[in-house]
Amino acid sequence: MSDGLRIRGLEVTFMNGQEKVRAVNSVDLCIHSGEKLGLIGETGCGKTILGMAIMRLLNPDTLIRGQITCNGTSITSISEEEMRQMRGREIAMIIQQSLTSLNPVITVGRQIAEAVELHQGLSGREARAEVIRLLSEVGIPDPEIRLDCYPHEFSGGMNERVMIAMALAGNPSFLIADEPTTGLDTTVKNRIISLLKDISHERSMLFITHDLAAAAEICDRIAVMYCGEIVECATTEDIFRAPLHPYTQGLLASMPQRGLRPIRGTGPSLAAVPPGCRFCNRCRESRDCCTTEHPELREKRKGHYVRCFLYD
Amino acid sequence: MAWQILASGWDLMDREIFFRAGLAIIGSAMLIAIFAPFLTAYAPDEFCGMPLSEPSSDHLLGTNDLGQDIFSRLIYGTRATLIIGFLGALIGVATGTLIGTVAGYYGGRTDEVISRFMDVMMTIPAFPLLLVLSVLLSPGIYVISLLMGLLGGSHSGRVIRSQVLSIAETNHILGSRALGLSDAYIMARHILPNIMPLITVKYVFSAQAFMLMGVGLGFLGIGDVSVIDWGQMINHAYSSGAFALGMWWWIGPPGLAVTVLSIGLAMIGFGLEERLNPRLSHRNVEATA
Repeated sequence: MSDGLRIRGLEVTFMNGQEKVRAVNSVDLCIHSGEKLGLIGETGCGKTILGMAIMRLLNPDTLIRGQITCNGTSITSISEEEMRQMRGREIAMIIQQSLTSLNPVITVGRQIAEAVELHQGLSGREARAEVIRLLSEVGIPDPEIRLDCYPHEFSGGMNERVMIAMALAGNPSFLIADEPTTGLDTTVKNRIISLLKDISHERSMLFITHDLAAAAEICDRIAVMYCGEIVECATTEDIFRAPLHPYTQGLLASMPQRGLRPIRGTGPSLAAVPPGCRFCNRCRESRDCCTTEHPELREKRKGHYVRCFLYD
Repeated sequence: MAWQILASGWDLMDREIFFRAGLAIIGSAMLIAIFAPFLTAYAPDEFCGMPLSEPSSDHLLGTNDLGQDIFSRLIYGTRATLIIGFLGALIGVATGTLIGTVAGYYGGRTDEVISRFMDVMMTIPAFPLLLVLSVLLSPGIYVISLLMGLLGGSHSGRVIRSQVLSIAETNHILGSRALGLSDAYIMARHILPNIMPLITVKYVFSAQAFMLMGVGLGFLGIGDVSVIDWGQMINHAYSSGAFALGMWWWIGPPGLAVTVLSIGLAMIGFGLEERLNPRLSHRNVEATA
């Protein structure tokens, strides 16, 4: 029934005032059924936009080209109403910043109940029981009492759990988790990671993060995104053991466990991308051709793709 | 610097008092409207006394040129005046909420079309248009309210749109959409409660504006002739020479009643604004000063 998610030639462009922002450029990704793919990159590289494009939650005047199919359904060509039917049921997204992602004036239980009523057709006492079950599934103690709390009465980690519970209400086969561990302290973060591991056991997941360590914990494969495009994609093991792209190498070197050496400079704006390799102004290995020609994403080893002239 | 002195004196006055006084005024007006038959000795249309008699214990405000009791007419006139104000505002704010929410929530093209439509509606001077329509259609009080509401709805529509625009951008609305909740559900259950305070204030101020508009139409002699309203009373008194005859008890009370109701509504709106916008609270002004 499910053959996972396939993205082919995805381009997302929108206008920011007079500037044309090319947020996602010819992205090809494939997430097999049951697989967890990590999408890594620094802030503003287009990770979230990619996630939102899959959910079709972007502004209607955003230009989206390319194809996305989920379990055989073409997300990019179905109607808005059909897409709405898929959200939460086939694909669910745990959106960024749990603190502001819950309605502050509605109780946590009520907000989860909305999803339960919508997706499972339950109501009243049955819906309440299901909410309690979901809350305990995501590890919130005393769910019978906690469901009448408001989001501001919860800690950041608990709100994150609530967000996860809401995403699970429709029992989706595919989850997109957008920076679920950002802004949480280390112990809470580790608990959320193990929760995500538990709940994604039978599901596919796109795990968007800038936290390499978290991605290593959860993901089978990792795609590294830089300035709107995928620059490297391989199994987690390969990425950590033998990274090919200078950017990936830089990211790994900047991890606290590996010496905390930052990558020099800043990336180009998505509104003004250079014609050549987008990383060349920060790259230690850059050559003449890097500034003029744009490298293609090539399979360097089996299942290990990289976008760099070093390996041509 | 005069305004600063004025402003500092202002802080000392509690808007809460205005709010309560306004509520008291409007509350009593409503009670008067409902219990009108119990408050008056004569039916408003009854020819019950000598024409043009002065105030007396029989006729508290005297009689008009037809021998009708002016006090009865004033009491019964409360009904039409309140109905025009509140019904007009209900229709106006409901229309404004509907189109403002749709425009703000969907944004993009939809917003563009609705916003331009509201701009056009706002350039139409409502009162003169209403005059023309009233002359042509000679509508009843309910149709007048409906027309006023539809014509004036854009004013609240614009304010509500801009508020919804910012709410629609918030993360929790995005989250609701990601869950697969329908747009109608999100607008009704997540956006409407957030703009309810704004709607309430808009409602009160619209009621005031529409009430005055209704009285204005009556005064010009183009209201619904089958109902008694204060505007028509003033018009009738004026054209029957109440001014020339110095009969202040005929022309004065309806004018005064309109003024009091209008001030009452303004006070409620004023008090509500403070409750809903903490920046207007004088406690905050002191704290930040």
